[in-house]
Amino acid sequence: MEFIKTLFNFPQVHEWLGQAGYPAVYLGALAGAVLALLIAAVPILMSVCLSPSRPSAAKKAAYECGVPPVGTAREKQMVRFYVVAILFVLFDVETAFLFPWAVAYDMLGLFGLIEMGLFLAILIFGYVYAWKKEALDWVY
Amino acid sequence: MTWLVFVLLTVVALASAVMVITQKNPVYSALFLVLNMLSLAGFYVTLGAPVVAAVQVIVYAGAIVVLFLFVVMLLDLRKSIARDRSLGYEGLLAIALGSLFVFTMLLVFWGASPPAGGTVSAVNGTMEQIGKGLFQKWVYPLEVCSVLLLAAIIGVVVLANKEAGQGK
Repeated sequence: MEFIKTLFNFPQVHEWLGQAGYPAVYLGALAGAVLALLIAAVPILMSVCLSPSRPSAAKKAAYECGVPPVGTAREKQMVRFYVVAILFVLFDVETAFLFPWAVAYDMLGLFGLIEMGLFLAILIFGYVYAWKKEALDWVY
Repeated sequence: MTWLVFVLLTVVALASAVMVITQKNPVYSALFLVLNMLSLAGFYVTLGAPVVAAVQVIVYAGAIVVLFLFVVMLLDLRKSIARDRSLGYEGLLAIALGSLFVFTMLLVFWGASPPAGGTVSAVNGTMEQIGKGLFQKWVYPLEVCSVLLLAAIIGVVVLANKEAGQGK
């Protein structure tokens, strides 16, 4: 974190953000976005620039543990995966409620803690239900 | 400078929206939808609503698009790619609803007054304010919300068990 702070602690950037009317909080978001972009782009660029390119039919074939691939990669998925996706969306929405709670935690006191406990308890009941009904199992 | 940010975001949002509907491969459409939703999150930041922006990234660009991708994978892709793309009554319906939407937006821009009891710009959308509001003033709706999510979880599990043909 300190590294990121020093990396983006140019007065110009602060000035620019101030002029644009953004609080300095967004500096962290900007740093994260730039780092994420670099982490994705640098390996790709390195492999494009540094590696020799001599493609052959065997090299271009899809790699499937050494076995020649059968059919295409676009097969229909099991309905089971879809259930996991919907459950992911639901618990994702739950997480969205956690962020404002965590930021305002100091102001809310014990009442906020109890409220969040109740909120989470209701949803954990749903989680236990899904678990008991074997909705999370892969093999059946 | 805000102007520059707005122009850049608008270009990305419009271009990615066009790409969503012109791509032949539904998976690419979904990926451009992610880009579109991220640029919308940028708009929310410039409008002073960081919580909405965060939820846009976490829930929409993250979870909802994952759901879309799963739907795409559940369907038979090769068939849908090869299918005839001419529009029937769906096209007419889309044009009608789209025109209605544009008409409404024009009304908003040309001086329709905000709904009673609300102002356009007086909302304090910081994370702290929303947290305070959610857990003090709007506590009961919040708990009702969790019950709603619980109902959705149970509904998914029940329907999935039915589809998989095991009524345990």
